[in-house]
This record gives sequence, structure tokens and C-alpha cells, in this order.
Amino acid sequence: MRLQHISVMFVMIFIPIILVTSYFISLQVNTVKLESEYTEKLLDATYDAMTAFELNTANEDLSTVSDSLRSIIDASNNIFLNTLCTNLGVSNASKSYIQPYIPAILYTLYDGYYIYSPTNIPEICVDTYGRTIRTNDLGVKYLETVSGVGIYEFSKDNLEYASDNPEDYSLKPGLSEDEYGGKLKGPQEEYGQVLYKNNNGSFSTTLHSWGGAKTSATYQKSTYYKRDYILKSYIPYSATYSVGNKNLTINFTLDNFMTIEGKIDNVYYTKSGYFIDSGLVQQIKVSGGGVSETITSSNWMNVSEEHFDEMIYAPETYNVTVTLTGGITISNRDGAVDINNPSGPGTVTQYWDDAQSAVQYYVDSFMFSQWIYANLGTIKAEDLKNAQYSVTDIQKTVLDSITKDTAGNDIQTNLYRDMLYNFEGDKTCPFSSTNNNPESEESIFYKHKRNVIKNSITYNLILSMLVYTEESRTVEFNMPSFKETEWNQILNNVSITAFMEGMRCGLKYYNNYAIVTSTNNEITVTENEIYYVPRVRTESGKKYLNNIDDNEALDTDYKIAHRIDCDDLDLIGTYGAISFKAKEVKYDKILDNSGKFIYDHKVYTDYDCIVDSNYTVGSGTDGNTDVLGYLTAHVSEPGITEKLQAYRIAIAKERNNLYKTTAFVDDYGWQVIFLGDSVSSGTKKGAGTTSVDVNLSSLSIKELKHIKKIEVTIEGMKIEDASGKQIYGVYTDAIKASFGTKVYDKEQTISTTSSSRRTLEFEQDFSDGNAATLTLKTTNQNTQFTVEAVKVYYK
Amino acid sequence: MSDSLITIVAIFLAAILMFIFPLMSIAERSDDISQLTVQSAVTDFVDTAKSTGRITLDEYDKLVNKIEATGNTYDVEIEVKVLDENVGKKSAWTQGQVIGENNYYSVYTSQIMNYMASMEGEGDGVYTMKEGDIISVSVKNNNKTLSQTIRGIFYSISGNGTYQIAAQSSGLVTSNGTSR
Repeated sequence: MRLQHISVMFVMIFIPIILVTSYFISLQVNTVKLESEYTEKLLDATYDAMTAFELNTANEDLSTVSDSLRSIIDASNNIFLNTLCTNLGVSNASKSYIQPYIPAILYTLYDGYYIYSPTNIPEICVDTYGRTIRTNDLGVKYLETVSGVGIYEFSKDNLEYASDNPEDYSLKPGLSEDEYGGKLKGPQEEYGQVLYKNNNGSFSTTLHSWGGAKTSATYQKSTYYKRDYILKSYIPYSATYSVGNKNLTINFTLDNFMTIEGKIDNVYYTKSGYFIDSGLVQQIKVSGGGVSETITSSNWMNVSEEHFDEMIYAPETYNVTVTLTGGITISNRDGAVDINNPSGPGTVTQYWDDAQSAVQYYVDSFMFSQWIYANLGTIKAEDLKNAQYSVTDIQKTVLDSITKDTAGNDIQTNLYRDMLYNFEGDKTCPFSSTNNNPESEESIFYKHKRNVIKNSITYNLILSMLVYTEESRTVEFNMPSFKETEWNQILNNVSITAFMEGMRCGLKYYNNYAIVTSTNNEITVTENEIYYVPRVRTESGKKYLNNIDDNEALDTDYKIAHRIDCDDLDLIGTYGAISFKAKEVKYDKILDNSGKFIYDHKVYTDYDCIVDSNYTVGSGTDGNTDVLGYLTAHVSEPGITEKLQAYRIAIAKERNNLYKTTAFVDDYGWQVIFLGDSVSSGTKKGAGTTSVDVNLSSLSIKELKHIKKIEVTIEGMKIEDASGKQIYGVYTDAIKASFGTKVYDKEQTISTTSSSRRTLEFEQDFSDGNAATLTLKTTNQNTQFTVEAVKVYYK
Repeated sequence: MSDSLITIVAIFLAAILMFIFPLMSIAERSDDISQLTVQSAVTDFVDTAKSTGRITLDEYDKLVNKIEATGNTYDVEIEVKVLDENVGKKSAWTQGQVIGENNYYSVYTSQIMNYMASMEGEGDGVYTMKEGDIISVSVKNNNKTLSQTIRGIFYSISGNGTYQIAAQSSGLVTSNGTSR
């Protein structure tokens, strides 16, 4: 064979092979290309959703209120779908085209999260105009009763309207109860209820599911569920702990704030606050106004949290100083300025309210944390009792009940189970006071909280995914397991995670998600949002913030940016210790000379002012992620103490002023002792005072220093003369309360001529003694009354 | 006879293998590069527009210059979805100021161009948008690129929507634009 033959043969054989291979490779290339395009578009859409969220929270003063937040998230959702549709080349009108490819969108917020996902919802019976139809309306016909559930039929043609006027849609009044019983003969308890649609088009008053094949009569009479995309209820980052006599629910947040609700030893507690390191606040000292006291971790029980409130906000009388670890002190008098003469001594002083907020934060956190160490110090991670934290429970309940999708394929429930952290056997104590700094990501508390939040989110996402997979028109959607770095992104701040699935993408189906974390919103405070701003003095004596161009509006005379006026800080040279949240500069509300706020002037501080970037320069790279860790580790270096103080004040006042939806107004525990009519004042008449001894043997905590307030409910008050005859007229008497030798300072003066029930309050801090017996003493020996109940409030 | 026929076939095949295939491949690579250039130019344009809240003739010209430097001609379609004060959904919490709950109406390339051209003085050549508007830009080539031509020799592609280079970008406008 000649060379030509061989070459032609070669070409004839290999060209088709090469063509087919190259076609296949180009398909693969296109798939990858398409996939990356989808990912980019998904990320774009998620980013836009976050932008909308941030803008909406910035523009809305009530953005932290949950109802308002819900509408903001709904809106952000719309933007997400809108952008995704635009990016994919379908008009925004066809939102419903894209929706089936979105199994879930997760919004993690400060103290909980929302999931937007398809959900099965029942359909309510309505007429042409969308009004709810009830069992007694004309047009409803009773058919039969199956297993106690009434089955009804409704025909729009049989509805009767009040008039023939087409503008007047009001229904004719339905059947009365008697007529209904006579005509419909349905179950008698079913009168006037809302009707839900069944699979076969009939209606029932209850939601019920009867098994069987889809064609079976019982299945057909079961409630019909349609699938719709809704923003599900807000789910807090909560966990329930139950061990011994403790039964508590704790709501965590993205930072160290938490709320606690539940029973310890029959005392019902509601508490909220920031959980801080046991060594952070070393002492709280109050002086001035005739008060002189020092509170430390050894005598914190002697005072209640509210004890300091009024003093902190009255700096002209009281000086409340908090000493933090590392010798940092913060006083409610910090930053005081003489408003008439800023550069010299004067008589009229304006106090800086941020210092007061910061002091309040540390006082409250200290008292709250001490309470936690004392009461929750023994709770272990394994005491968690929520279903989603027990892998065994999950096995028993949810996951195993759904094992196959509609196509008959196995759903890999084992995979899902592995995604959850198993708390069983975890003996660590997240609320311990030793080696536990809740502000640090390395602490036991933080790791535990992270596992709780991760499990809660994963569990609820899995449920959403299962609903989606059950009726998915394309392929089974496997809930992806997030990497640790992605969890960091999700749990670091408010974030949006959008899932997209099932879209045809070259040779396969697209299955991915995008996470976008907020950098600037109204509902969290993170370390990275705190700025240092250098300051300079101008010749006129006014102080301006430096490094912000064209920014006279931030003149501190108008108190726009917050400021510590501490001359020592000038020693550092470059940095003054002015600190405020980034947001306040970005979305600044500027007060102009006429007293109005201007909103649309946007300025940005120098990038070098952001706290964490401050420490990279010349100090290695270790300052970049953990600001607090860096500051505390380098506290011996010049200037760091001042920066640490500024940081402590800034983060404290921002957090203190943040509105928290889950916080309780009152932080206390309470227990009620019902005494019935058993304790009455005696029949002693004659000389001296009358006293009633109330035996409080059933109180859970008897130490007086734990008690902050008591309420005594009395009734049947009357005055009798020596012969036992009741005296009428207008009289008052004063009642004193005492525990043993401890007498409450304030006595209650009440009318003795009304026998109706009333409550007396006694409030005072006692540092020792116990509360076995309460004595109530009247001045008039002829006064009589009965003690009904005693409510004891604990600190 | 048969030898010379085979030789002719061999030469023909050799010509295809040695010239047409490499040419096709190079042409396609050059389209890929154009695609990248166009995509980044469009993304830049949209990013600038959405962060400044304005579309300017300058920026538009820059975009057109950049993409036409690839040697092809393009259709540039700009669509601005303008946030309307009217809310789209009826519920107790719906508000006109919340981005995402409102209706949008669209303004397209020719309207935007006419607007920019019609303004005199301060607002000359500037189309302003506001916070919450959505801008989307899509670019497609309208000539036949080299690779399309070569492919046309082997198999023909018909229809209007045949384009080789396409880029699209869109985003939420984050600030209120000014005409200065």
C-alpha cells in the first residue's frame, strides 16, 4: 500500500473519532461554562437581595421590629427573584418560571432565621369574590360523616346574595343554628366553621389525612394541600435544656447576647443579657450622692440589676465606675464637656451619654453573667432536649418516615443524619465560669452555640428540602453540607443563602447555592463595624474628625460622631479614641444647624480607621481576624490600652443601644405561694400592734440576698372594736413587712375600710438572713385582714 | 489513475486538516477572548452605573469602544426598571418606600439615549436613576464572526437569534444619581 492510501485510511478512520470526541468535549466545556454562569447569576441575585435588605433596613427606623423585618425580607426575596429572572433572560413577570428551581432561601438574622421554601398549605373554601364560606352559609350541603369528620359540598350557584346589585357582594345571612341542625344534619359541633378543601373537591371543617392509594375513597376525602412558596415563621436560635430541677429554653444570638426562660427549682425565670467572661468586669464602684459601694463577683448577690440604672444615668450626682481586666476603667462621667467653655473649667457640664450606655452594658452583663455561673454552671451540652439535637430521635421520627421520593428512589436520610452534631455524650459545660470567654470564637460557649445554631438550621433546611424533593418535578435535591468556612460566613453576620436546583445545565442538572454575608445593616453590631477616628484640633478650639474629607457635619459640637474627650489619648499622637459604628458614617443622619436631619450625604471614613485594619500595619498579620484577641495580647505595647478602652466603650454602647426582639423587659425569677384563707391576722384586740406570721416553708430559695421584691395579696380588711363590732368610716393603716429581723424600710399605707383584694409591694436589697417567715405588722391593733398569696421575685 | 485520485483526496484532506481546522480553532479562541472582553466591559459598565446611580454618554461610549475593539459589531441593549411609587402587593405592611415591594416600569435603550441627547446644560448626556432601580445591560454581536463564517461553510445556521458573543449583567442601583 502506498503512503497516500495509508494517509487517506488514517484520516478516514480518525477524523470521525476526533469529531465525536471534540463534540463531546465541547459539550462538557459548555456544561462547565453554563454551570459557572448560573453560579454567577445566582450569586448576583443573592447579592442584590442583600443590598435590598441593607438599604431597606437603613431606610426604615423600625427595621428591627419583627413584623417590619418580615416585610423587608419579603421585599428582598422579590428582588432576588427579579434579578435572577432578569439575569437568566426571562422577564420579571415570570417569577413562577424560576420559583420551582429554588428549593429554599435562608435568611439568618441576629437572633433567629427565616426560611423561604415551598410548603404544603390547605386551601380554604371561598366564593367568587374571595370571601370565606362557612358550614352554615347557604350553598353548603352536608354529605356524610367519615370517622367523625363531616364532608360537605359547596356550589357557587346555590349561594344567595343580599341583593341583585352586582356591586353589592354581601352574602345573605346563613342558616341559624336551629335551621342548620334541621336541614343539614351534619355533626352538631360543626356550626359556622371555616371549610377546607378535600382532594376530591368536597370540603371539611378539620385538617385530616387518611392513608391509602391516591385513588382510594379515603385518600380522596383527605384534606387537599397545595404547594406554595411562603416565608416560614421566624425560628429563633433556641435550645431547651432539661436536667434535674432545671428546665430552660435559651435563645442564642450571633454574638454573646442571650435570653433565658424557664424553671429552676420551681422559680420561673426570664432573663436576658450579654454573657461575658467571668474575669472581664472586676468591680463596679459607686460614689457620690451619699452612696459608696463596691460590687465584685463575691457580693454581686447583694444588689439587683436595676439597682444601678438610675445612678448610671445621673452622672451629675453619682459616679459609677466599672473596672475591667487590664486596668481599664469606664465611668459614666467619661467625656464630660463644659458646653459653655470647651477648653476650660466651667459650671455647666454636658455628659456624654455613650459612656453611660457603655457602663450600663458592663453592669448588666456582669450581673447577668454572675447569675448564669451560679444557676446554669452545671448544665452540660448533652442536657439539650430538642428533637433536632438528638440523632436517635430524628431516626425515630422525621427522617425515617420519609425514605422514598415520589419516583420511588431512596432519600439518603443517613447522609442528613451525619450532618447534624450529636450532643449525646457531650459533657462540656457551655455556661461554666472557668476558661470560658463567650466573646471569643475559641470558647466552649461559642462552640456550643455554634453547634446549636448549625443543627437548628440544618434540621429545618432538611425538612424544607424533603418537602421540595417529595414533589420535585426533576431530580432529588440533596441538601448540601456546608463547609466550616461557609458556616463562618453564615454565622458571622446577617446572611442570605440561596439554593438553586434542577435547572437543565448541559449534560447534568444544576445544583448549587450562594451565600452572601451582610457587611452593613441595622440589626447587628460586629467588631469590624467599629471605627477609630483620629482627631485634630483646629485653631478655633473646635474639634474635628480628621481623615474624613469635606466633613464638617461630623463636628463633635453637634454630637454626631461619638467621642471620648480624654486628653491622655493625645499622647498616642495618631489616634484619638473616637469610636462609632461604621453605619453611622455610611448612612449618616446629619443634623444641620436648623436642627433637621439630612440623610443623603454619604461619607466614608478612611479605610485605616476600621478597627481590625488598624493592627496589621507594622504588627504582623495576627490582628486581622480577632480584634479583641489582638488587643488583649498586645496590651503592654504603647497606646494599646487606650485603643482597648475605646474599643470596649464603642462595642458596649453600640450593643447596649441595639434593639433586641427577644429581650425581656424584666429580668427576674418569681414564685407564688398560695396561702388561701389560712393566714389571717389574729383576734387579739387591745394594746400594741397586730402582726401576722406567714410561713413561707415552700419557698425554693430562702436566702434573703436572692430576693429582690415581694408582693403580698391581702383581702377582707376591716377594723373591729374591742367588743368585736365592725367600725365603719374612713380609716387608713400602715403595714410593715419583715423577714425575721430584716424590716423593709417602706411601709404601705392603705385604706382599711375596703374589704376588696389588693396587693402590697415591698422592695429592698438585704445582704444576709433568710426568708422562712414573713411578718406583716399593722400599727392599729384592731385591723384585721387575710393573706391570700405571696409572690416572691428573685434576682 | 487511482493513484492520482487518491493523491487529490489526500491533498484535499491535508488542506482541511492543515488550514481549515487550525483556522476554525483559532477563530473560536478569538471569539472566546472577545467574549471575556465584552463580559468584563459590560460588568464594569453596570457596576459603575449601579453604584453611581447614573448612566452617562461617556461611560456608554467607553463601553462601545471597548467591545468594538474586538473587531466585531454589537447590539447594546440597556433596560432600566424604574421603581414606581405604587406598591405591587396588597398587605397591611406594604409600603411604598420598601425596595422590592413596588411595581417596576421599564425604560429601554432608545428612550435612555433620547433622554441623554435631549438634555441640555447640566444634565447633558446623563441619565439618572434612583436607589432601588434595576439596571440590566445585554450585549450580542450582530455581525458574523470569523468562526461563524467558517462554520457556515460546513453547515448553515439560520435565524435572527444566532450570535456567538453575548454578555449580560444586571444589578440593583444603590444610590440616587445626580445629573452633575
